[in-house]
Parts: sequence; C-alpha cells; structure tokens
Amino acid sequence: MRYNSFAFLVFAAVFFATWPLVRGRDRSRWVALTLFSFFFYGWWDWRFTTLLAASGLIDYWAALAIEKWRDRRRPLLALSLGCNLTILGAFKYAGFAAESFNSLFEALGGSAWLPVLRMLPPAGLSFYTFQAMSYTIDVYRGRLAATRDIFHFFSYLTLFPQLVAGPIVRAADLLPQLTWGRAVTAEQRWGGLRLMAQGFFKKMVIADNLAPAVNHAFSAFDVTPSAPYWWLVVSMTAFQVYGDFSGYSDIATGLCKWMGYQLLPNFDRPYTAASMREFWTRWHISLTSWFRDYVYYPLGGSRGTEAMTHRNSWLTMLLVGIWHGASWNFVAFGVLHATFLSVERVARIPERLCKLPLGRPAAVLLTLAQVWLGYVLFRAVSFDQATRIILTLFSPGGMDQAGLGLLRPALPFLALGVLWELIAALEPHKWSVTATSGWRQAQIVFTAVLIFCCVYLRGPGSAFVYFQF
Amino acid sequence: MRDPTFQTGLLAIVLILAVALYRPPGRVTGVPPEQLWNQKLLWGPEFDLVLAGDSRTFQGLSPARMRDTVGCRRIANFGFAAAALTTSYLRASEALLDPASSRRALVLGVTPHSLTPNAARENELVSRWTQIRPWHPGLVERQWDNEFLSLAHQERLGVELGVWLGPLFHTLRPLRLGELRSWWGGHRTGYFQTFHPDGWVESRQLPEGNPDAISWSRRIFQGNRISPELTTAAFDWVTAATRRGANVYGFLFPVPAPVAAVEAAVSGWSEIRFAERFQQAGGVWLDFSAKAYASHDDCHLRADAALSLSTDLALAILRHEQKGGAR
Repeated sequence: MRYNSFAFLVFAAVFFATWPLVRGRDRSRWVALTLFSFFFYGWWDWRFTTLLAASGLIDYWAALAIEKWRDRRRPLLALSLGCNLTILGAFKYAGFAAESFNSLFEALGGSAWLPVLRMLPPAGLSFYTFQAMSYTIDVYRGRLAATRDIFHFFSYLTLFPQLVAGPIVRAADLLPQLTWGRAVTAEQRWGGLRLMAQGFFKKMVIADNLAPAVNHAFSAFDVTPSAPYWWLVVSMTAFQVYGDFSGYSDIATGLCKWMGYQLLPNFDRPYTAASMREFWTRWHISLTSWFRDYVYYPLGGSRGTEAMTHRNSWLTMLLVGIWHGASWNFVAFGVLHATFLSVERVARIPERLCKLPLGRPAAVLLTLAQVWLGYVLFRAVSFDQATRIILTLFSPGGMDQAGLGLLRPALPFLALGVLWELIAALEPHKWSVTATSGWRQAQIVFTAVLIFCCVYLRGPGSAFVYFQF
Repeated sequence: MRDPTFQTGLLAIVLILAVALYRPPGRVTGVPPEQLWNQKLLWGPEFDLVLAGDSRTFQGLSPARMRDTVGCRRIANFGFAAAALTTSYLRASEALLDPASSRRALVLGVTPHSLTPNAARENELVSRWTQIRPWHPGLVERQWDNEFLSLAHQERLGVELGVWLGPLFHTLRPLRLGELRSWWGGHRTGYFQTFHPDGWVESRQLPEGNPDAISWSRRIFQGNRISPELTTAAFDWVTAATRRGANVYGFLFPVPAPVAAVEAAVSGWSEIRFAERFQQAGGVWLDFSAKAYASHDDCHLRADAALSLSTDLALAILRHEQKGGAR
C-alpha cells in the first residue's frame, strides 16, 4: 500500500480510530499492530505475507533458542542468518548470479547452462530481513533479551509505517517502546503531523515533479550529447531520490509519533556534507549504521592497519551497493563510493580544503560531484548507458535546446529541492525565535501550506523508489 | 481549538476548499477525465460497435455522431492514449461486444505507432493497470507475463472508487502555471478538451499546429519500428474475431500528409501491404485518404473533422453491411 494512495488514507483512518481502543493493553496493542501491518503489506499481494511471516518466525524462534542454549548459539545464529540470506538471495540475487555466471561461461567459450530465475522480490524484502537479522544478532551478542511474546516480536518486525522502505529500526530501540501504552500527547501529534506534511511534500511535490524529466532522460534510446543537460538530469535524480526516500522516512516517523513511538532520524541534510565520509553518516543513516555495526566493526573497522581499514571499507561499501539491487550498476556504485572513501582517507582533501577560506562550500561541492557520479550508476538502465553518461558529463558540448525544453518544467522543483536543503542547512529548529508563540503560528501556516501544495502542486503520482529494495 | 494539529488541519482544509471553489473552469470540460478513464475500464459486454485504438481514435471518432448516422446502435470509443494493438488489448475491446447483438463490429483506428514494440510495452493503458493493479487478466497477460500482476486484482475497488470520486479528484487536480495565469485573463491558448461519456474526447489546441510534429515522429520511431510479431498477432486476432462472428473494420487514421509521409518512412509502415494482409485475415479495410480531415496539432483531428470522419466511417460501415457484409 502506498502512502500517497486513497487506500492508505482509508487504512490510516481506520487504524487511528482503532488505536486508542487497543493501545492500553500490551497484548491487544501488539495483536492489532501485527494484524494491521500484515493487512497493509498484504494489500500489495497477500501471498508475500507468508514470506514475511516465515522470515519472522525463523528469527523469533532462533532468538529464543539462542537464549535457551547459549552453548549452541553460534550454529543457531548461523542457521537463522542462513535462512534469511537464502530468502533474500533467492528472490533478489539468484537471477543476477545465474545470469552473470552464464555470461562468464559464454565469455570463456562455453554455453550458458544455469537457469535464470526471475522472481519479483516482495516490496521491502531487504528492509525487513535486515531488521530481523539485527534482532537475532543482538540477542546472540547478549545486548538484547529475546521477547517471549510472538505478537510483541511481530509488532516490531512488521510495524507498518517502516515495513516497506525503512528506516531499518533496531529491536533495542523499538521493542521497549512497544511496551508503552500511554496516550499520545498533543505535542507528539503536532510533531507527527509536521513530519508527515514535510514527507508528503518532499515526495509528492519535489520528487514526483522531477520524476518525469528524469525518467524521460534515462529511458531515451540515445544519450543526449550534452554535458550541461546531464549535470541537470543527475541533479534532478539526486533530489528526486532524496525527496522520495527521505519523504518516506519522514512520513514513517510521523506516523510512529502518532502512535507514541520515536524513530531515529534517517537523513540529516546529506547534501550539505563536506566529505564522502560525512555523507555516509547523513544519508540513509539506519542502513549505514547497520552495515557499520554488523559488517564494518566486526571486520575490524579502522582498528587495524591502514590497508585493513581500506579493505573493510571496500567490503562494506560493496555490500551497501549490492544491497540496493542485483545488477552490475550497483556493484559499480559500491566500488565507486569505496574508491572515493579510500582516496579521501589517503589524500585528506576535504580536511585540507576546509581549512582554506570558502573551503567548506568547495568541499561540499566536491562531495556533491562525487555523489552525483554515483547517482548515474544508481539510476542508469544499464552499465553501458551509465558509462556513456559519465563520459558525456566530462566532455565539452553545448546545451541541447530540445533536451533543455524537456527539463524546463522540472526546473522549479529542482530549485525547490535545493532551497529546502539550504534552509535545512541553516538548522532553523535551533533559532532562538522558535520559543515564541509567533513561531508556532508561523509553523501552523507553513504546515497547512505544505498540505495544500501536496494537493495542488503534486506531480504525477508514482510508487516510492525504495520499495524495490 | 488550541491544538496546533487541529488548527493546521482546519487551515489546510480551508485553503484547499477555497481553491477548489474558485479555481477557473479549466480547459477540460464534460465528464471528469478521472471518471471517464476508470469508467471505460468498467464497461461490460453491452455494445454493438466498439472503436479501438490510441489517442487518434479517442480524439477522432464520436460514437454519438456515428449513432446518428447508422441508427440506433450502442457504440463505444475504447481508445486509450498510446494504446498498442496487442492481442490482449484487442481481446479486451472485443469483450465489450454484446454476445446477443446481431451486428457486432469492431473498428480499429490503426496508426503506425500502435504497432510498435514501445507502444506495446509502455502504453498508457498498461501503465494504468500497473498502478491500479490489474483485475482484468485479459488486458495484461501479454504485456506482463507475470502471475503476480495478473492475479493481483484486489484493487478493482480502486477503479470503482475512481468512477465515483472522479469529480472530486478532478476538482482537486494539480494547478498548472498556465491555469494560474488564466485566473485573471481566461484561457486563450492551450489544449482544450471535452470528455464525452461515450469515450470521445473532443479536442482542440490553440494556437493550432505543431512545429515539432515531424521531429517528434522521427524521435518516437527511433529504434522503434513496426513490430512484425505484433502485426501478425493482430491479424491472427482479426481472423479469430471474424470467425467468432464479429465484423472487423480497419483504417489508417488520417493525419496531415507531411506527418504521414515521415511516419511511413521511419516506421516501416506500408498501407498497401497492411490492408492486403488485413483483408486476407478476414477484416474489412476502409480508405479515407480521398478527403482531408483537419488536425489541430498535426497529429489528432479537430472536433469538426472528427465529426466528419465519424459520419464517413458510419456510412462506410452501412455501405458494407448493405452489400451483404454483415455477419
């Protein structure tokens, strides 16, 4: 079910009408959350709820078994992770792996012999699988007590606001909150509404109005031979993906606030980062912190030699790339970011740049250029197209008037995206004026205008980009 | 009342309603488009004659005018933007014919683009199905050889709601910059459309003409020539449909001569060859090339030309039937 659909409007109305009735008692709260979440997920295709249930049951029982048989916890964890990764692999990576294997064989003079299975991955598979794995790993590490109540566990795993496209919430953060049954305060409701209005605005006004221009550019048969055109298209892609995904996170966080729960921020003004390292601490924070805690640190993080640190960073970024999708584009995306991070670690360019006058803005621009290059791989339909676009970006060539004409309707929304990020960079929530009643009135008007814009300035509606992950 | 959530909600509703009530009428009149497109998807087997094709068909043929000419028949325009003449679409069009009718007929408004792979893959009809979930397996089975999509039919409710809430959605449609300007001065330019409940979309662009029509034609057929497989499948369907007792008529949709010449050159279209195979398949090929029909954007017919073509088409069908062609 998409947030920007009529069906969700009805669903949310029914849920929030029911919530005060079930909130008071643990069991009724967890059962209601689980049922509503399964309904939310099953609306797309009910058959995939069985996969969600199976994945959850594996981790629920694995965690209990790990607690009961501490001496056998390692094989139990391996079994649980193996099951999760098998499901993920079968639905998301099997076709890609078989295809790559066949291509390699053909290149070596053999003939393709592996059957290529193309299964449509259920929405949000990577999100809830990672969430489930973090629960079992935390129980294994003794950082979290396994919950005995199956509905308590499933209300955590399937909590509908963040089920399909994150944020990836850790059990240690959410499970204790799910035991709260207190009423939602007016301040929480207001905070939730503001977040949702911002999220819908970023998705429906900024991202959805940029989408047609971006889709058109990447679906064309030929790469338009114009560097300015492609810099504009890639900038639009950057703000489309950002608006879409951070919008979803804001809506999810706002909905959770309306239930009385607090999710950690998933984005922190990523396009104001002055280095690639900083970018990855501001972008999709729940995913990057997951990889940091469960991959990068266990590999040794930056505690070993310089070479080992580079190796750990490369492995982690490669996995981050592959997490996004099964294609060589995403592998290259991971490699590109790993390269940037390694170069940055060795050359320390951002650090040196920031010490110069106007160095920080220059470092931000340099970081953006690197991130933008990554977006080409992220969004291109093939590796070949990505290569041609990257070559075009750095080749001289005038502005193609026909191309510019197609981008023109999206330009105001690109400007709006840039403005939004610039204002966020000023951190208005820290201004002293926020304590005044006038500020509160201004916020009310501003939020109402955002809702108004979602109705009358919305772009052609489309599914959230990150649903596919 | 002092709750900021309540105050925000109230203010937002007031703003939205104010614009809904005072926005200019817009360039779109008649049945709200959101309602018509969804209504088309809900039409049942209730027609004697169905007009199928892409935007040239839904803009270029008026069922009401045809009815006036051929007498009391139930006629529907089932055209959709960029619709391809795929077997699935043709089958869905045929499904609208009343099995009890003695004069079942289908008219295919053929355009070179409706026979291209891109149209088959990306036509708006299919993309609508992917958005609302396909509950009509016949329409999607070819494009989406995918059990998930063909079985996920639970959102038929969405289509029905689209019909009921179409007027509301239309009122809350996005504001465009041109519309904001027209608040003061009225609409002088743009694309004006009147949606009729029988599927005809009476259209006019002001100012008329499209300087990009030729380059646009070249662009859409680039790497996208007419598909022999799609064409053969369409002929197979014509044979099958005529065997099932329907008359199948086809004609090349008239467009200005320079555009037609470019389309033929870049798409691989040959009317003589197509007409011959169409007739061999059991269909009746009609020719409207002797008369010029005015286009408002060098692609689609102006309303007066659409009415004229509708009359000519109805007369051609009558003539064929009178010659004993009716089944």
